[in-house]
Amino acid sequence: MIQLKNIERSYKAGAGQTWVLRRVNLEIREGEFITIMGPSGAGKSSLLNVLALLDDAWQGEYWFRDEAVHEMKRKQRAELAKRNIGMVFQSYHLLDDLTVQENIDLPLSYKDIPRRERQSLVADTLDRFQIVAKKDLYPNQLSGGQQQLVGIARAVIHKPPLLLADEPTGNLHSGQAKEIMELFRGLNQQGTTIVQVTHSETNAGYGSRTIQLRDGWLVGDTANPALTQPAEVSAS
Amino acid sequence: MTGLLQDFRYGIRQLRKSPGFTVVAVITLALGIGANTAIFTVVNGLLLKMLPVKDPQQLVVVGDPTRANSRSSGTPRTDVFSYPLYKELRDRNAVFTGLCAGATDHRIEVDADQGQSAGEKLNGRMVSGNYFPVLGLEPAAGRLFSDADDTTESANPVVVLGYEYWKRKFALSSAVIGKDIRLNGYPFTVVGVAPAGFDGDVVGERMALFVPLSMQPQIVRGRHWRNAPNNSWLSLLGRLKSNVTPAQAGANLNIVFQQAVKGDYGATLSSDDRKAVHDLHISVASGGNGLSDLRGDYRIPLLLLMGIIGLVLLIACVNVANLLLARASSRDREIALRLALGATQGRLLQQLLTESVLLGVLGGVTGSLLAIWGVRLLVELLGSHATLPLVPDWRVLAFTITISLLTGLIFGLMPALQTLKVRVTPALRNATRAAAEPGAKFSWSKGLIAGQVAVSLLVLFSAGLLVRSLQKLMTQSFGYSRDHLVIARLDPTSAGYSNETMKLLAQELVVRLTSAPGVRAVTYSTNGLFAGSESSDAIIVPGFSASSPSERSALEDYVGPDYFGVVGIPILTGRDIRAQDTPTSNRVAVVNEAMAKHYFAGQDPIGRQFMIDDPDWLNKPITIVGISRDAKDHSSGMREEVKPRFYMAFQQVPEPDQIVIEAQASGPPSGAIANVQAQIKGADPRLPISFVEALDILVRDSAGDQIALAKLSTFFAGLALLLACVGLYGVISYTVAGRTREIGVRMALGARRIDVMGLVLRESMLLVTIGLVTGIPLALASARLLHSFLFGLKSTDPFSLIAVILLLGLVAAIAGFIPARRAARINPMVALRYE
Ligand SMILES: Nc1ncnc2c1ncn2[C@@H]1O[C@H](COP(=O)(O)OP(=O)(O)O)[C@@H](O)[C@H]1O
Ligand SMILES: [Mg+2]
Repeated sequence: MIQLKNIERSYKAGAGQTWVLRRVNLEIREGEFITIMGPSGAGKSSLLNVLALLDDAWQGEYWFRDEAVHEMKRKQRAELAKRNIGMVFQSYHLLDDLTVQENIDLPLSYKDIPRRERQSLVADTLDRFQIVAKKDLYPNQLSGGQQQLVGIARAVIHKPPLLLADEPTGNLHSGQAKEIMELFRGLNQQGTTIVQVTHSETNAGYGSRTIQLRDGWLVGDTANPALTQPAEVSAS
Repeated sequence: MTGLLQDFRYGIRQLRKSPGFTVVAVITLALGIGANTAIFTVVNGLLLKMLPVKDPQQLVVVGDPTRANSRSSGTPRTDVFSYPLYKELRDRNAVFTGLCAGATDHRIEVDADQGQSAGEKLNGRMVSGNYFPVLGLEPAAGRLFSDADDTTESANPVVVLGYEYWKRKFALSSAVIGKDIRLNGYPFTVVGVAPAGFDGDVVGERMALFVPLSMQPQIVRGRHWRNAPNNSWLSLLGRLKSNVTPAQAGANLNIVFQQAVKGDYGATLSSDDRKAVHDLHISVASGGNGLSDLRGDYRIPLLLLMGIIGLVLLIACVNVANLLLARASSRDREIALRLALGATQGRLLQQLLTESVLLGVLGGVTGSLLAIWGVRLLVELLGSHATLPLVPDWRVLAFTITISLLTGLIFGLMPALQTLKVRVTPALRNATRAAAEPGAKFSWSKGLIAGQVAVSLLVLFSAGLLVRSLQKLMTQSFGYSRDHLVIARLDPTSAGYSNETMKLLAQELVVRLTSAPGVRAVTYSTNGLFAGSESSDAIIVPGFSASSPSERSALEDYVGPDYFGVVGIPILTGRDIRAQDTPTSNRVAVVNEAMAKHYFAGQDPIGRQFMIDDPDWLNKPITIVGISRDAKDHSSGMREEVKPRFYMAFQQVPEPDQIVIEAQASGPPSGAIANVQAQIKGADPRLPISFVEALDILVRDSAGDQIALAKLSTFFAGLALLLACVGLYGVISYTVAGRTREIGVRMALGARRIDVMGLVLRESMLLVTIGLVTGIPLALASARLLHSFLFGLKSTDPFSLIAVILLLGLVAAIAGFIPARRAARINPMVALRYE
């Protein structure tokens, strides 16, 4: 589905640069459930941002189903992301002034979907996630787990083939986390490719493959046990 | 009020800590307060300031104080007074310790060096002998007048100098006392100098000298007004006896007046005049602030402007309030901490208000400096050459201090209360979160912005109406073409001309001027076009019966040959006034359409006759020979329907009074003015010329108050618009900053930049729309106050309203566009990073 070749990302820091992603090569196949792990500051979120096409400032090659993302203009990338990618955040990022129903509807509102179809999609999704009763509540009237449920519902309402989740259970206790992971498993079984970032081995256990990041380097991949840290680690 | 000094010190430190905020707030306030101080200084100088005389609050004006420069030679009046009537009132009233009279001449030629210096033309006031005693003034040098200086006509050639003139011309030297100077060629002895600061009793006009009323024939030469009961030319000021109110004085004066009409005074009047006078009423009002005809012109415009400028200050206050609101959220931590440490709400409120009042005072000080310059600008824009007492006094000071403190409280109170709404725990635990979500605090700001838009609409609409009305007034058809005319007003009588020699002079001037370069054709008249004088008479038209005296009066003018041709007023039927109309030929008149319609309804007036209702004229019927198109020829008539008027032949009337020249220039009139002037001087170098001016300029001058009002209201409407847009820009920018995360989320979920821009623009346009919707009824309601100022359009003029709405909408869209564009540039990855 996705092929990353030599992805690099750096930030300007004072006079020099700090590298946050270093020559990342990664292939994500349809239907995989990948977990990214690594210590804080390793570049996990950065990698996810690259995958999500929220970030524009990387170098390297990014192939999405044989399309050369690295050659695309910003608008095309946004279009591609809109169609294919859903995002789940650690702090949910629901909009406080919108009801559950309206929050879920948000991604659809940025697409040319007829009103009717939109309404039925929202209704289906509320149903599927069993939050019909909560549809008129505001985010601050929900528990963390419920909010993340809404966040996931919002991420998948337009049925994206790829779901990206950055520490989706980071703010939840273990009971709630389990529910979310069950949900992910279900989605994955129905065909959604998932990439999640987590610190929890338990969560990683739901996935089919785990990759490790250290200081921007991809240092481990359960699908590629041969991967070792390159020799020429530069001291930056 | 504990710790006020500490709050003050802390306030200064706070303001210094955020210099950007302080500078913007102070400039905004300074603009508002400065404009208000400037307009108030003018209002104070013209309307409020007391005359620098003894106990001015005891003074009353008798008659109409705004008619200080009017003179009438018809039926006796009670807005200005004749000398005989003044004497009756002065001698028979029971309410005044003294009643004095005065009249101004604006063209006194003063020759202080026995013919050595070219004469200067100055303002001088002819005053009754008791003028200075009634006002309670003491001389700066020599002596002032007493009753002994105002005895019989022409018997008292003495003059008191004005202090400023004494200073300028004689360097405060007392050697001038006892010296002879020539006024309009007649020798007067200087007996004294009026006190410093006293420029006369007419506000806006500085008198260079004062002479007794008895010397009127020497000052206004060739005229004998003093003992004529039909010449009303005096303004009266009385000093009330203690415990007498102006109303009581009025009642007494009217009784005295009616008795006088029945007595000897009445006996000097014609029976018609006696009848007319019977219905007149004398008004008395407090007069400590003197007389002024400027006041009549500018009172309402100034008050309107003051209203508009007050609204500008309100808008400025809203901007500063919004700045403070924006800052309030960033101070949550500080406030929470202070509350946690035991500060009471009241104590914190005092601290916050001290800060805002400090800002108000800084704005006030800066504004006062702005006002010094603003007053000069205002006076210039008001287009008057008046010397108003514009030095700030305690009233201006009090005004500025009050509005500075008030604005400080107004814009400070609401943000202060908002700031104090912070709760201790959440802010302390998570101060950044509190700052990032202004939420409720900003509904206040948005309300304020909508209010600003509404008020701006009101101000803009008023200005729009005034501008459009002025435009209609100035571009209306006057009935003739104004482009090429030059007008000159001459006063041959005061140069010693008799009626007969004046008629000859008029003919000579036509010959001379016609040959002048740049002049195509010339004619003359008594009143002419926009030359500042007017005549009317009661007339008798056989077959016409009038229900009231005003029904049978008509305006009149005496015109030279080809007057209609030169001026360009078409003759509709019959003929115009020609050279053949001489003193020995048949007396003829041309009447305008209005007169034909009013007096000869439907019938052809050509060949019909009418009489002037005056003993001298009753046996001299006038034959109508032509009808001219209605023409607007006087400033007083610019806004009205043209009134009935008849034009007689200048050469056929016994007393043509003065000469007004109408010259048609072949090119731009400005080029012909000097030639016209030179030719008049060539005919008689001693001939007093009141002015030589292009008609267009005269017309513009006569609408000076309206031009000034339109200009100033436009200027301040612009300022209001600017401030409102800055406010909108600020609030939307702040909102965008507070919505960064939300915008990031939306973009991560597929919102395009254009969607984000729409989101922000919609928000600002919603505020603007709310403002407009509330502003429209507000604007329409308050525009009714302008009703009497408007010409050719209603106070609900839809064109102005739509134009102003579009302008406001457009400018507000631009102000909202900038933060919208900034919002669209938000990088979602950065926006979402801080989880
Ligand atoms: N916008 C940014 N500017 C500068 N440095 C950044 C920015 N975003 C991330 N970084 C840096 O990049 C590194 C990787 O960050 P991130 O990908 O968020 O790590 P992780 O998600 O693994 O904890 C960190 O050192 C972080 O400080
Ligand atoms: Mg991270």
